[in-house]
Amino acid sequence: MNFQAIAAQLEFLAWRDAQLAAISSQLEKALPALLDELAEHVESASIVNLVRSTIALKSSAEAIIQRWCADQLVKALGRAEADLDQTLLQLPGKVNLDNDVWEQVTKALPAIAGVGLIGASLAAIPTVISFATVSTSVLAFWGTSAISWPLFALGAAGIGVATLTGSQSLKFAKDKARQKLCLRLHREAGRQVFGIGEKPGARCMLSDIQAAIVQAGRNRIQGAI
Amino acid sequence: MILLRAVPPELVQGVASGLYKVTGSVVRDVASGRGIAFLQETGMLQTILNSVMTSGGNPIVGFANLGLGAASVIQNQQIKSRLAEVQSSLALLQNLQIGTLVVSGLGLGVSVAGFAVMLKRLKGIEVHLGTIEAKIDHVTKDRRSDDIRMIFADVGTQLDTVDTLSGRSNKVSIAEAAEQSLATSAGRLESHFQQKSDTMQLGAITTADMDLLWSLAAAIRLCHEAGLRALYSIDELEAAKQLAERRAQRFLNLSQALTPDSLARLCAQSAQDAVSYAEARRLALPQAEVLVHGLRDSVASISSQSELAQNLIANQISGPAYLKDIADEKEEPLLILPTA
Repeated sequence: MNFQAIAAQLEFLAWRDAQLAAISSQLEKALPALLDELAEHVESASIVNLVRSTIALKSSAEAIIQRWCADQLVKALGRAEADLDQTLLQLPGKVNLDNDVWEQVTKALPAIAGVGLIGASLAAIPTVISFATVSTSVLAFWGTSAISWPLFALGAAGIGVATLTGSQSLKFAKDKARQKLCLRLHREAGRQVFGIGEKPGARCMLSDIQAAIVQAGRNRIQGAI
Repeated sequence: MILLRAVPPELVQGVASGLYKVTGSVVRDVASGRGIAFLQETGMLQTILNSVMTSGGNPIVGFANLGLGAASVIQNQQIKSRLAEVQSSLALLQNLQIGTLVVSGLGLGVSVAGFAVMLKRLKGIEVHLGTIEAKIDHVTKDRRSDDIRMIFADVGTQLDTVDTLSGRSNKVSIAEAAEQSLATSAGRLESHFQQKSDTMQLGAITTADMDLLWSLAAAIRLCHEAGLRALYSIDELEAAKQLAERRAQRFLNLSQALTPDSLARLCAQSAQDAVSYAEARRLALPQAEVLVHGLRDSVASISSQSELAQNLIANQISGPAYLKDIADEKEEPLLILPTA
């Protein structure tokens, strides 16, 4: 009986490992589109926004990143759920979810879920999450600024001085300010999405998506939801 | 020969077509999950492996090359292809992870490797560990190296004991003592593995860190294999069954927190921007996959040794008789034992 329990655990681990790697690849492939969108956003920002409304810019850039992440989450969900269905179908002997094999498997599941880098995200995401609710739960979660944004320092003072000293230097100052802002936004996107520059285990959107998928998979397997 | 027989072509075809799959050393029917047969390596496999690795005057891989380097991954693929060319039954190995081939054999059934081969594997791991230690954390390496060296010395002594069991008069007590000593060594190596695995989650890592885990895992597996063989020698099949079951679970617990993605991400941790992060992660991923898949395959291999012991009990085949049959086989590198 225990052979089947071990085989079932190995199958679930294989599913988990494949999903985590697939989510990383997916986000890396999709990142250039996000960076382009952020660059366009800065390019189209008015001088007033650049000088005075940094909070408005911050908020709209945040919205762009969150929307992008939500799209990525939906894609990851579809893949993970379909793959888990396949995994469940291929389990050795098509074991019954009610028998004691699953009892042993589920005992091991909390340990399976406590995976290094996504540990903090797992701890923060609702434990009752399911494939049907993960999208809304994680979105609500991001909406509460789980990953903090530092205030932008745009070099707005530089623009302010330039406005007093002539149109040529104003154009130069504006271009430079846009360039700097774009760079900061791209860096911020890297930090928020992949945790670049943060300590290992710090929460980022990649870890949040991975944790949500693992948690939903765990609940699906346990038959809880 | 008791029930062991040559691998039938239909089994090879069944695996190739996806009708059957090999998990550890068990060939299973994919649709029902039922075990069809156990694969058992013989002494001939080692001879073929040695010839394949050095054929054409161009050694594919040696003990010095073990580890997780990209070259080793490619080399393992070459070994598998050449094995299949040499003998059709070895095509069964195409779907197996054989990253641990050089350090701990294939783990197909009970290990039949002699002392010289096992000791060579152990020395290979020890030398490799020394090379890796030079590349990683300098603060703890001396203390850790000393302890690992002492464990390896103990394991070497016990390998010698296990290899000479058949010639001893009081083999039962000696085999039991050897098995217990090997289990203790495995436990101490598991502590090193766990400690290293936990530390790796705290900061940026390199492939040398993964290589260290890989080598420790190979040494743990070697201890398990030698210990199980000791139990087979004294016909303690029920104990072999239970121990293999527990050890498979322990090995699984050790590897649970490791995922190829998280290890690859940790390798990319010091990247300054998204582009270099993605490059570093992608570069480290194949090696992380070899490590983690190798650990999982070890779990399957050890678990199937438990199934094998149960099958022998059901077939009323004694451990010593089984070992003798494998040792006497001079033609086939792989044999099968149909399930009871």
